[in-house]
Amino acid sequence: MENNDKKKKKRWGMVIDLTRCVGCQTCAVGCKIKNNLADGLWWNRVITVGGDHIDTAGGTYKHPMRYSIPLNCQNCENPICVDVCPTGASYRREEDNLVLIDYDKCIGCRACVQACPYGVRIANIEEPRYEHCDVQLGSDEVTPRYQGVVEKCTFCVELIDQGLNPFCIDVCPERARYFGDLNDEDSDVSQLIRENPVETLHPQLGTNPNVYYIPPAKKKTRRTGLDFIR
Amino acid sequence: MWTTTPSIIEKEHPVDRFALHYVPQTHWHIWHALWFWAMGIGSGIFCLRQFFGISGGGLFLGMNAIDIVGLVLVAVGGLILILDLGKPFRFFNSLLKPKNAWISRGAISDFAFLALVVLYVLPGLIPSLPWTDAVFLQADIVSRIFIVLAVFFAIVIMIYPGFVLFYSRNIPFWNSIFTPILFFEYALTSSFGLIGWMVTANGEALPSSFYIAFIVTLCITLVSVLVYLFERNSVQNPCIKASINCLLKGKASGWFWFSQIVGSLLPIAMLAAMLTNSIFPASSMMWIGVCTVLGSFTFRYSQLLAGLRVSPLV
Repeated sequence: MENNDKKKKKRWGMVIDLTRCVGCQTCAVGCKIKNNLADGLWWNRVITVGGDHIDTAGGTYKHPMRYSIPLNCQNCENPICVDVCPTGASYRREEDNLVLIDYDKCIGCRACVQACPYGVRIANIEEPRYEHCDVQLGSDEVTPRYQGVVEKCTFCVELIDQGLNPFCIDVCPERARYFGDLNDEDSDVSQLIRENPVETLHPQLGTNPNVYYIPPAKKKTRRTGLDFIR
Repeated sequence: MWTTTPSIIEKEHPVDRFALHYVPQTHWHIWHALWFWAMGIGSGIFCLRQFFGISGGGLFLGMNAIDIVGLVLVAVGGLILILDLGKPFRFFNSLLKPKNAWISRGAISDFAFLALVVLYVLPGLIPSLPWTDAVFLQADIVSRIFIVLAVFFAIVIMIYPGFVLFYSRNIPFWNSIFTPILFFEYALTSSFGLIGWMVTANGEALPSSFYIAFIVTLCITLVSVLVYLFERNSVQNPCIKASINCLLKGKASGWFWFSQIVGSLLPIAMLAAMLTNSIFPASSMMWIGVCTVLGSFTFRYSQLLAGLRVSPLV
Protein backbone atom coordinates (compact mmCIF):
# COMPACT_ATOMS: atom_id res chain seq x y z
CA MET A 1 0.00 0.00 0.00
CA GLU A 2 2.78 2.39 1.01
CA ASN A 3 4.66 1.44 -2.16
CA ASN A 4 1.61 2.30 -4.25
CA ASP A 5 1.37 5.72 -2.59
CA LYS A 6 5.02 6.35 -3.32
CA LYS A 7 4.48 5.37 -6.94
CA LYS A 8 1.50 7.71 -7.25
CA LYS A 9 3.33 10.69 -5.74
CA LYS A 10 4.66 12.99 -8.43
CA ARG A 11 7.95 14.83 -8.35
CA TRP A 12 7.78 17.52 -10.98
CA GLY A 13 11.06 18.53 -12.52
CA MET A 14 12.60 20.27 -15.51
CA VAL A 15 15.53 19.53 -17.74
CA ILE A 16 16.97 22.50 -19.63
CA ASP A 17 19.29 21.76 -22.52
CA LEU A 18 21.78 24.63 -22.63
CA THR A 19 23.20 23.36 -25.91
CA ARG A 20 19.84 24.24 -27.49
CA CYS A 21 18.99 27.45 -25.61
CA VAL A 22 19.73 30.51 -27.75
CA GLY A 23 18.87 33.10 -25.09
CA CYS A 24 15.85 34.46 -26.95
CA GLN A 25 14.04 35.26 -23.65
CA THR A 26 10.77 33.84 -25.01
CA CYS A 27 10.29 31.76 -21.87
CA ALA A 28 10.93 34.83 -19.69
CA VAL A 29 8.45 36.99 -21.59
CA GLY A 30 5.95 34.14 -21.87
CA CYS A 31 6.10 33.62 -18.11
CA LYS A 32 5.60 37.35 -17.56
CA ILE A 33 2.52 37.42 -19.77
CA LYS A 34 1.03 34.18 -18.51
CA ASN A 35 1.36 35.14 -14.85
CA ASN A 36 0.45 38.81 -15.24
CA LEU A 37 3.75 39.91 -13.68
CA ALA A 38 4.07 43.62 -12.97
CA ASP A 39 6.83 45.90 -14.25
CA GLY A 40 10.26 44.86 -13.05
CA LEU A 41 9.16 41.40 -11.90
CA TRP A 42 10.55 38.30 -13.58
CA TRP A 43 9.90 34.80 -12.30
CA ASN A 44 11.96 33.36 -15.11
CA ARG A 45 15.13 35.02 -16.38
CA VAL A 46 17.54 33.97 -19.08
CA ILE A 47 20.98 34.93 -17.85
CA THR A 48 23.88 35.56 -20.18
CA VAL A 49 27.02 33.76 -19.10
CA GLY A 50 30.02 35.38 -20.74
CA GLY A 51 30.32 39.14 -20.90
CA ASP A 52 29.35 41.68 -18.30
CA HIS A 53 26.13 42.58 -20.07
CA ILE A 54 23.14 40.80 -21.52
CA ASP A 55 23.91 39.01 -24.83
CA THR A 56 27.60 39.86 -24.82
CA ALA A 57 30.42 37.35 -25.07
CA GLY A 58 33.24 36.93 -22.60
CA GLY A 59 36.49 35.04 -22.84
CA THR A 60 39.59 36.06 -24.75
CA TYR A 61 40.54 36.60 -28.40
CA LYS A 62 40.04 33.39 -30.36
CA HIS A 63 38.32 31.86 -27.36
CA PRO A 64 35.06 33.75 -26.98
CA MET A 65 32.51 32.25 -24.64
CA ARG A 66 28.83 32.96 -24.30
CA TYR A 67 25.81 30.90 -23.50
CA SER A 68 22.45 31.47 -21.88
CA ILE A 69 20.95 29.84 -18.87
CA PRO A 70 17.24 30.07 -18.07
CA LEU A 71 16.77 30.50 -14.36
CA ASN A 72 13.51 29.93 -12.53
CA CYS A 73 12.58 28.38 -9.17
CA GLN A 74 14.55 25.17 -8.80
CA ASN A 75 11.78 23.52 -6.72
CA CYS A 76 14.36 22.05 -4.37
CA GLU A 77 13.85 18.82 -2.47
CA ASN A 78 15.31 20.55 0.60
CA PRO A 79 14.22 24.15 0.10
CA ILE A 80 16.03 26.63 2.35
CA CYS A 81 13.31 29.20 1.63
CA VAL A 82 10.72 26.99 3.31
CA ASP A 83 12.93 26.49 6.37
CA VAL A 84 13.51 30.19 7.00
CA CYS A 85 9.91 31.30 6.42
CA PRO A 86 8.55 32.40 9.82
CA THR A 87 4.91 32.09 8.84
CA GLY A 88 4.64 28.83 6.90
CA ALA A 89 3.62 30.84 3.82
CA SER A 90 6.35 29.08 1.84
CA TYR A 91 5.49 25.42 1.80
CA ARG A 92 5.89 22.20 -0.13
CA ARG A 93 2.70 20.79 -1.59
CA GLU A 94 2.16 17.29 -0.23
CA GLU A 95 1.08 15.55 -3.42
CA ASP A 96 3.90 16.62 -5.74
CA ASN A 97 6.54 18.40 -3.62
CA LEU A 98 6.07 21.70 -5.47
CA VAL A 99 7.41 24.64 -3.48
CA LEU A 100 4.64 27.24 -3.38
CA ILE A 101 3.76 30.45 -1.54
CA ASP A 102 0.49 31.12 0.26
CA TYR A 103 0.05 34.84 -0.46
CA ASP A 104 -2.53 35.17 2.30
CA LYS A 105 0.01 34.11 4.93
CA CYS A 106 3.13 35.87 3.64
CA ILE A 107 4.16 38.93 5.69
CA GLY A 108 6.83 40.15 3.26
CA CYS A 109 9.79 39.78 5.62
CA ARG A 110 12.02 38.76 2.67
CA ALA A 111 13.93 36.14 4.67
CA CYS A 112 13.27 33.67 1.85
CA VAL A 113 14.59 36.11 -0.76
CA GLN A 114 17.84 36.36 1.20
CA ALA A 115 17.97 32.61 1.76
CA CYS A 116 17.37 31.34 -1.78
CA PRO A 117 20.83 30.67 -3.26
CA TYR A 118 19.44 30.90 -6.79
CA GLY A 119 18.05 34.43 -6.40
CA VAL A 120 14.72 33.50 -7.96
CA ARG A 121 12.40 34.92 -5.32
CA ILE A 122 11.13 38.44 -5.80
CA ALA A 123 9.74 40.77 -3.17
CA ASN A 124 6.73 42.57 -4.58
CA ILE A 125 6.98 45.36 -2.04
CA GLU A 126 5.54 48.16 -4.16
CA GLU A 127 2.03 48.27 -5.58
CA PRO A 128 2.17 46.29 -8.87
CA ARG A 129 2.37 48.64 -11.88
CA TYR A 130 1.74 47.91 -15.55
CA GLU A 131 2.95 51.07 -17.25
CA HIS A 132 4.10 49.46 -20.48
CA CYS A 133 0.90 47.66 -21.24
CA ASP A 134 -2.66 48.93 -21.48
CA VAL A 135 -4.41 45.57 -21.62
CA GLN A 136 -4.94 43.00 -18.91
CA LEU A 137 -2.44 40.18 -19.27
CA GLY A 138 -2.39 36.77 -17.68
CA SER A 139 -4.81 33.90 -17.62
CA ASP A 140 -7.87 33.87 -15.39
CA GLU A 141 -6.61 30.96 -13.27
CA VAL A 142 -3.55 32.87 -12.10
CA THR A 143 -3.83 34.57 -8.74
CA PRO A 144 -3.68 38.37 -8.94
CA ARG A 145 -0.36 39.98 -8.07
CA TYR A 146 -0.42 41.25 -4.49
CA GLN A 147 1.53 44.14 -3.07
CA GLY A 148 3.73 43.34 -0.04
CA VAL A 149 4.42 39.66 -0.57
CA VAL A 150 7.19 37.54 -2.04
CA GLU A 151 6.61 35.78 -5.36
CA LYS A 152 8.32 33.18 -7.45
CA CYS A 153 7.84 30.72 -10.30
CA THR A 154 5.14 28.19 -9.48
CA PHE A 155 5.89 25.84 -12.40
CA CYS A 156 2.50 27.16 -13.61
CA VAL A 157 0.79 25.08 -10.96
CA GLU A 158 -2.70 25.80 -12.36
CA LEU A 159 -1.65 24.32 -15.72
CA ILE A 160 0.01 21.30 -14.10
CA ASP A 161 -3.19 20.60 -12.19
CA GLN A 162 -5.01 20.46 -15.53
CA GLY A 163 -2.48 17.97 -16.87
CA LEU A 164 -0.73 20.60 -19.01
CA ASN A 165 2.87 21.75 -19.23
CA PRO A 166 4.17 24.97 -17.64
CA PHE A 167 3.91 27.84 -20.11
CA CYS A 168 7.68 28.28 -20.54
CA ILE A 169 7.97 24.69 -21.76
CA ASP A 170 5.43 25.13 -24.53
CA VAL A 171 6.61 28.55 -25.74
CA CYS A 172 10.31 27.67 -26.02
CA PRO A 173 11.00 27.87 -29.78
CA GLU A 174 14.19 25.80 -29.49
CA ARG A 175 12.57 23.01 -27.47
CA ALA A 176 15.32 23.47 -24.92
CA ARG A 177 13.06 22.94 -21.93
CA TYR A 178 11.49 19.66 -20.84
CA PHE A 179 9.07 19.04 -18.01
CA GLY A 180 7.75 15.91 -16.38
CA ASP A 181 7.53 13.60 -13.41
CA LEU A 182 10.98 12.67 -12.14
CA ASN A 183 9.46 9.68 -10.31
CA ASP A 184 8.23 8.25 -13.63
CA GLU A 185 11.12 6.42 -15.25
CA ASP A 186 9.53 6.67 -18.70
CA SER A 187 9.03 10.44 -18.63
CA ASP A 188 11.06 12.67 -20.98
CA VAL A 189 12.88 14.27 -18.10
CA SER A 190 13.90 10.97 -16.50
CA GLN A 191 15.21 9.71 -19.84
CA LEU A 192 17.15 12.92 -20.47
CA ILE A 193 18.69 12.74 -17.03
CA ARG A 194 19.71 9.11 -17.64
CA GLU A 195 21.19 9.77 -21.07
CA ASN A 196 22.99 13.09 -20.46
CA PRO A 197 25.62 14.35 -18.04
CA VAL A 198 23.18 16.68 -16.31
CA GLU A 199 24.13 19.07 -13.53
CA THR A 200 22.24 21.04 -10.92
CA LEU A 201 23.05 24.50 -9.57
CA HIS A 202 24.94 24.77 -6.29
CA PRO A 203 24.91 21.02 -5.54
CA GLN A 204 27.23 21.63 -2.57
CA LEU A 205 24.40 23.32 -0.64
CA GLY A 206 22.40 20.11 -0.41
CA THR A 207 19.18 21.69 -1.66
CA ASN A 208 18.70 18.95 -4.30
CA PRO A 209 17.08 21.06 -7.03
CA ASN A 210 14.54 19.47 -9.35
CA VAL A 211 15.73 21.56 -12.30
CA TYR A 212 18.54 19.87 -14.20
CA TYR A 213 20.77 21.45 -16.84
CA ILE A 214 22.53 19.80 -19.74
CA PRO A 215 25.67 21.95 -19.73
CA PRO A 216 27.12 23.38 -22.95
CA ALA A 217 30.68 22.29 -22.19
CA LYS A 218 29.71 18.64 -21.91
CA LYS A 219 28.64 18.40 -25.53
CA LYS A 220 30.96 18.67 -28.49
CA THR A 221 31.51 22.42 -29.04
CA ARG A 222 30.66 23.90 -32.38
CA ARG A 223 33.37 25.51 -34.47
CA THR A 224 33.40 29.28 -34.22
CA GLY A 225 33.87 31.73 -37.07
CA LEU A 226 37.34 32.47 -35.78
CA ASP A 227 38.47 28.90 -36.49
CA PHE A 228 37.78 29.47 -40.18
CA ILE A 229 39.66 32.80 -40.25
CA ARG A 230 42.79 31.07 -39.05
CA MET B 1 31.72 24.14 -13.27
CA TRP B 2 30.75 25.56 -16.63
CA THR B 3 30.79 29.21 -15.77
CA THR B 4 32.99 32.29 -15.72
CA THR B 5 33.67 34.42 -12.67
CA PRO B 6 30.95 37.04 -12.39
CA SER B 7 31.92 40.67 -12.14
CA ILE B 8 30.93 42.89 -9.25
CA ILE B 9 28.65 45.85 -9.72
CA GLU B 10 27.93 48.49 -7.13
CA LYS B 11 24.33 49.18 -8.06
CA GLU B 12 22.00 46.87 -9.92
CA HIS B 13 20.37 48.17 -13.08
CA PRO B 14 17.23 46.23 -14.10
CA VAL B 15 19.00 44.88 -17.20
CA ASP B 16 21.86 43.60 -15.04
CA ARG B 17 19.51 40.98 -13.65
CA PHE B 18 20.00 39.17 -16.94
CA ALA B 19 23.79 38.94 -16.72
CA LEU B 20 26.04 37.21 -14.24
CA HIS B 21 26.99 39.64 -11.47
CA TYR B 22 27.52 39.90 -7.78
CA VAL B 23 25.18 42.62 -6.62
CA PRO B 24 24.66 44.16 -3.18
CA GLN B 25 21.59 42.97 -1.36
CA THR B 26 19.07 45.77 -0.98
CA HIS B 27 16.24 44.07 0.87
CA TRP B 28 17.65 44.69 4.33
CA HIS B 29 18.89 48.23 4.84
CA ILE B 30 19.34 50.95 7.45
CA TRP B 31 15.97 50.24 9.13
CA HIS B 32 17.03 46.65 9.71
CA ALA B 33 20.33 47.84 11.18
CA LEU B 34 18.32 50.09 13.52
CA TRP B 35 16.08 47.16 14.43
CA PHE B 36 19.08 44.91 15.24
CA TRP B 37 20.75 47.71 17.18
CA ALA B 38 17.74 48.82 19.25
CA MET B 39 16.78 45.30 20.22
CA GLY B 40 20.37 44.35 21.03
CA ILE B 41 20.86 47.28 23.41
CA GLY B 42 17.38 47.09 24.90
CA SER B 43 17.72 43.45 25.89
CA GLY B 44 21.43 43.79 26.75
CA ILE B 45 20.99 46.51 29.36
CA PHE B 46 18.33 44.47 31.15
CA CYS B 47 20.69 41.47 31.37
CA LEU B 48 23.69 43.52 32.52
CA ARG B 49 21.68 45.35 35.19
CA GLN B 50 20.66 42.02 36.67
CA PHE B 51 24.11 40.45 36.27
CA PHE B 52 25.93 43.28 38.07
CA GLY B 53 23.09 43.97 40.51
CA ILE B 54 22.84 47.63 39.46
CA SER B 55 19.95 49.32 41.19
CA GLY B 56 20.91 52.87 40.19
CA GLY B 57 20.48 54.68 36.91
CA GLY B 58 17.54 56.83 37.99
CA LEU B 59 13.81 56.34 38.22
CA PHE B 60 10.99 56.98 35.79
CA LEU B 61 7.51 57.07 37.36
CA GLY B 62 8.96 55.03 40.22
CA MET B 63 10.36 52.36 37.89
CA ASN B 64 14.04 51.78 37.16
CA ALA B 65 15.08 53.94 34.20
CA ILE B 66 17.42 51.29 32.77
CA ASP B 67 14.57 48.79 32.54
CA ILE B 68 12.30 51.41 30.98
CA VAL B 69 14.93 52.37 28.38
CA GLY B 70 15.39 48.65 27.63
CA LEU B 71 11.66 48.19 27.22
CA VAL B 72 11.34 51.21 24.94
CA LEU B 73 14.30 50.17 22.77
CA VAL B 74 13.02 46.61 22.30
CA ALA B 75 9.53 47.93 21.56
CA VAL B 76 10.89 50.48 19.06
CA GLY B 77 13.02 47.77 17.42
CA GLY B 78 9.96 45.56 17.10
CA LEU B 79 7.94 48.43 15.68
CA ILE B 80 10.60 49.13 13.05
CA LEU B 81 10.58 45.45 12.11
CA ILE B 82 6.80 45.40 11.81
CA LEU B 83 6.63 48.61 9.77
CA ASP B 84 9.24 47.30 7.35
CA LEU B 85 7.23 44.17 6.56
CA GLY B 86 5.48 43.99 3.23
CA LYS B 87 2.25 43.22 5.11
CA PRO B 88 2.65 44.85 8.57
CA PHE B 89 -0.84 43.96 9.78
CA ARG B 90 -0.09 40.26 9.44
CA PHE B 91 2.87 40.39 11.82
CA PHE B 92 1.26 37.89 14.19
CA ASN B 93 1.81 35.27 11.48
CA SER B 94 5.52 35.54 12.22
CA LEU B 95 4.98 33.68 15.50
CA LEU B 96 3.90 30.50 13.76
CA LYS B 97 7.11 28.62 13.01
CA PRO B 98 9.59 28.75 15.90
CA LYS B 99 10.68 25.19 15.12
CA ASN B 100 12.61 26.24 12.00
CA ALA B 101 12.71 29.98 11.56
CA TRP B 102 14.88 32.35 13.62
CA ILE B 103 12.62 35.30 12.76
CA SER B 104 9.79 33.42 14.41
CA ARG B 105 11.90 32.61 17.48
CA GLY B 106 12.97 36.23 17.67
CA ALA B 107 9.43 37.56 17.35
CA ILE B 108 8.20 35.26 20.12
CA SER B 109 11.12 36.32 22.32
CA ASP B 110 10.38 40.01 21.69
CA PHE B 111 6.79 39.68 22.83
CA ALA B 112 7.70 37.44 25.79
CA PHE B 113 10.49 39.81 26.88
CA LEU B 114 8.23 42.85 26.70
CA ALA B 115 5.47 41.12 28.67
CA LEU B 116 7.85 39.81 31.36
CA VAL B 117 9.72 43.09 31.83
CA VAL B 118 6.46 45.05 32.03
CA LEU B 119 5.32 42.68 34.79
CA TYR B 120 8.71 42.93 36.49
CA VAL B 121 8.82 46.75 36.61
CA LEU B 122 5.13 47.28 37.46
CA PRO B 123 5.61 47.25 41.28
CA GLY B 124 7.51 50.54 40.86
CA LEU B 125 4.30 52.07 39.54
CA ILE B 126 1.83 50.00 41.57
CA PRO B 127 3.50 49.17 44.90
CA SER B 128 0.58 47.03 46.06
CA LEU B 129 1.52 44.24 43.64
CA PRO B 130 2.68 41.06 45.44
CA TRP B 131 6.25 41.04 43.99
CA THR B 132 9.17 43.47 43.92
CA ASP B 133 11.18 45.13 41.16
CA ALA B 134 14.51 44.60 42.93
CA VAL B 135 17.56 43.12 41.16
CA PHE B 136 17.89 39.33 41.13
CA LEU B 137 19.78 38.79 44.42
CA GLN B 138 17.33 40.96 46.41
CA ALA B 139 14.21 39.86 44.59
CA ASP B 140 11.47 37.51 45.77
CA ILE B 141 10.66 34.24 44.05
CA VAL B 142 8.05 35.66 41.64
CA SER B 143 10.39 38.43 40.49
CA ARG B 144 13.21 35.93 40.13
CA ILE B 145 11.08 33.84 37.81
CA PHE B 146 10.32 36.96 35.74
CA ILE B 147 14.03 37.87 35.66
CA VAL B 148 15.27 34.42 34.67
CA LEU B 149 12.71 34.11 31.88
CA ALA B 150 13.30 37.68 30.69
CA VAL B 151 17.09 37.15 30.60
CA PHE B 152 16.60 33.97 28.55
CA PHE B 153 14.44 35.80 25.99
CA ALA B 154 16.82 38.80 26.06
CA ILE B 155 19.72 36.54 25.06
CA VAL B 156 17.63 35.15 22.18
CA ILE B 157 16.83 38.73 21.12
CA MET B 158 20.53 39.67 21.15
CA ILE B 159 21.56 36.70 19.08
CA TYR B 160 18.69 36.01 16.66
CA PRO B 161 19.37 38.75 14.07
CA GLY B 162 22.80 37.17 13.64
CA PHE B 163 21.23 33.78 13.00
CA VAL B 164 18.77 35.33 10.54
CA LEU B 165 21.77 36.58 8.56
CA PHE B 166 23.66 33.31 9.10
CA TYR B 167 20.93 31.33 7.31
CA SER B 168 20.74 33.77 4.38
CA ARG B 169 22.35 31.44 1.87
CA ASN B 170 22.08 34.01 -0.92
CA ILE B 171 24.69 36.12 0.89
CA PRO B 172 27.67 33.88 1.67
CA PHE B 173 29.54 36.61 3.56
CA TRP B 174 27.02 36.27 6.39
CA ASN B 175 27.15 32.46 6.51
CA SER B 176 29.65 32.36 9.37
CA ILE B 177 29.01 31.34 12.95
CA PHE B 178 30.84 34.56 13.89
CA THR B 179 27.91 36.61 12.59
CA PRO B 180 25.59 35.75 15.51
CA ILE B 181 28.53 35.81 17.92
CA LEU B 182 29.50 39.33 16.84
CA PHE B 183 25.91 40.54 16.97
CA PHE B 184 25.76 39.26 20.55
CA GLU B 185 29.08 40.88 21.46
CA TYR B 186 28.13 44.25 19.98
CA ALA B 187 24.83 44.13 21.85
CA LEU B 188 26.84 43.63 25.05
CA THR B 189 29.43 46.38 24.41
CA SER B 190 26.77 48.97 23.61
CA SER B 191 24.75 47.86 26.65
CA PHE B 192 27.82 48.27 28.90
CA GLY B 193 28.33 51.73 27.40
CA LEU B 194 24.73 52.84 27.87
CA ILE B 195 24.48 51.56 31.46
CA GLY B 196 27.81 53.19 32.35
CA TRP B 197 26.58 56.46 30.88
CA MET B 198 23.16 56.34 32.62
CA VAL B 199 24.46 55.35 36.06
CA THR B 200 27.41 57.77 36.21
CA ALA B 201 25.29 60.59 34.79
CA ASN B 202 22.94 60.00 37.75
CA GLY B 203 25.88 60.61 40.13
CA GLU B 204 26.18 56.95 41.15
CA ALA B 205 29.19 54.65 41.15
CA LEU B 206 29.56 51.31 39.39
CA PRO B 207 31.50 48.33 40.76
CA SER B 208 35.05 48.04 39.39
CA SER B 209 34.14 44.57 38.09
CA PHE B 210 31.77 46.35 35.69
CA TYR B 211 34.59 48.38 34.13
CA ILE B 212 36.88 45.34 33.91
CA ALA B 213 34.12 43.27 32.27
CA PHE B 214 33.43 46.18 29.90
CA ILE B 215 37.02 46.47 28.67
CA VAL B 216 37.40 42.67 28.42
CA THR B 217 34.21 42.47 26.31
CA LEU B 218 35.45 45.26 24.05
CA CYS B 219 38.80 43.49 23.57
CA ILE B 220 37.10 40.13 22.87
CA THR B 221 34.84 41.84 20.33
CA LEU B 222 37.80 43.44 18.57
CA VAL B 223 39.63 40.09 18.38
CA SER B 224 36.42 38.38 17.21
CA VAL B 225 36.16 40.83 14.32
CA LEU B 226 39.71 39.99 13.26
CA VAL B 227 39.10 36.23 13.52
CA TYR B 228 35.83 36.68 11.62
CA LEU B 229 37.56 38.47 8.76
CA PHE B 230 40.36 35.87 8.59
CA GLU B 231 37.82 33.04 8.70
CA ARG B 232 35.72 34.58 5.92
CA ASN B 233 38.80 35.31 3.83
CA SER B 234 39.94 31.69 4.15
CA VAL B 235 36.79 30.44 2.38
CA GLN B 236 37.45 30.00 -1.33
CA ASN B 237 34.47 31.95 -2.54
CA PRO B 238 34.97 35.03 -4.75
CA CYS B 239 31.68 36.50 -3.56
CA ILE B 240 32.90 36.47 0.06
CA LYS B 241 36.18 38.07 -0.99
CA ALA B 242 34.24 40.76 -2.83
CA SER B 243 32.19 41.36 0.34
CA ILE B 244 35.36 41.68 2.44
CA ASN B 245 36.70 44.12 -0.09
CA CYS B 246 33.46 46.11 0.16
CA LEU B 247 33.71 46.04 3.96
CA LEU B 248 37.35 47.14 4.17
CA LYS B 249 37.68 49.39 1.13
CA GLY B 250 34.29 49.78 -0.51
CA LYS B 251 31.09 51.58 0.34
CA ALA B 252 30.71 49.83 3.71
CA SER B 253 34.24 50.74 4.79
CA GLY B 254 33.39 54.10 6.40
CA TRP B 255 30.78 52.51 8.63
CA PHE B 256 33.00 49.51 9.41
CA TRP B 257 36.12 51.47 10.33
CA PHE B 258 34.02 53.86 12.40
CA SER B 259 32.68 50.87 14.35
CA GLN B 260 36.20 49.58 14.96
CA ILE B 261 38.01 52.82 15.73
CA VAL B 262 35.32 54.88 17.44
CA GLY B 263 33.20 51.95 18.64
CA SER B 264 35.98 49.74 20.04
CA LEU B 265 39.53 51.15 20.02
CA LEU B 266 38.70 54.57 21.46
CA PRO B 267 36.55 53.19 24.33
CA ILE B 268 39.27 50.61 25.10
CA ALA B 269 41.89 53.37 25.32
CA MET B 270 39.67 55.57 27.48
CA LEU B 271 38.67 52.72 29.79
CA ALA B 272 42.29 51.59 30.14
CA ALA B 273 43.29 55.11 31.16
CA MET B 274 40.40 55.31 33.63
CA LEU B 275 41.18 51.92 35.15
CA THR B 276 44.87 52.86 35.50
CA ASN B 277 43.99 56.04 37.39
CA SER B 278 40.97 54.50 39.17
CA ILE B 279 38.93 57.60 38.28
CA PHE B 280 35.67 57.20 36.39
CA PRO B 281 34.33 60.64 35.50
CA ALA B 282 30.75 60.87 34.25
CA SER B 283 31.78 62.93 31.21
CA SER B 284 34.21 60.22 30.05
CA MET B 285 31.59 57.52 30.60
CA MET B 286 29.17 59.55 28.53
CA TRP B 287 31.63 59.65 25.61
CA ILE B 288 32.36 55.94 25.97
CA GLY B 289 28.64 55.28 25.98
CA VAL B 290 28.08 57.39 22.85
CA CYS B 291 31.02 55.71 21.07
CA THR B 292 29.97 52.13 21.84
CA VAL B 293 26.30 52.78 21.06
CA LEU B 294 27.20 54.33 17.70
CA GLY B 295 29.82 51.63 17.04
CA SER B 296 27.23 48.91 17.63
CA PHE B 297 24.92 50.47 15.05
CA THR B 298 27.60 51.16 12.43
CA PHE B 299 28.98 47.61 12.66
CA ARG B 300 25.55 46.12 11.97
CA TYR B 301 24.92 48.54 9.13
CA SER B 302 28.32 47.80 7.59
CA GLN B 303 27.47 44.08 7.64
CA LEU B 304 24.27 44.73 5.72
CA LEU B 305 26.04 46.97 3.20
CA ALA B 306 28.78 44.41 2.59
CA GLY B 307 26.25 41.66 1.85
CA LEU B 308 26.66 40.73 -1.80
CA ARG B 309 24.19 38.31 -3.34
CA VAL B 310 25.80 35.14 -4.62
CA SER B 311 25.59 34.47 -8.31
CA PRO B 312 23.04 31.74 -9.01
CA LEU B 313 25.72 29.76 -10.83
CA VAL B 314 29.00 30.18 -8.96
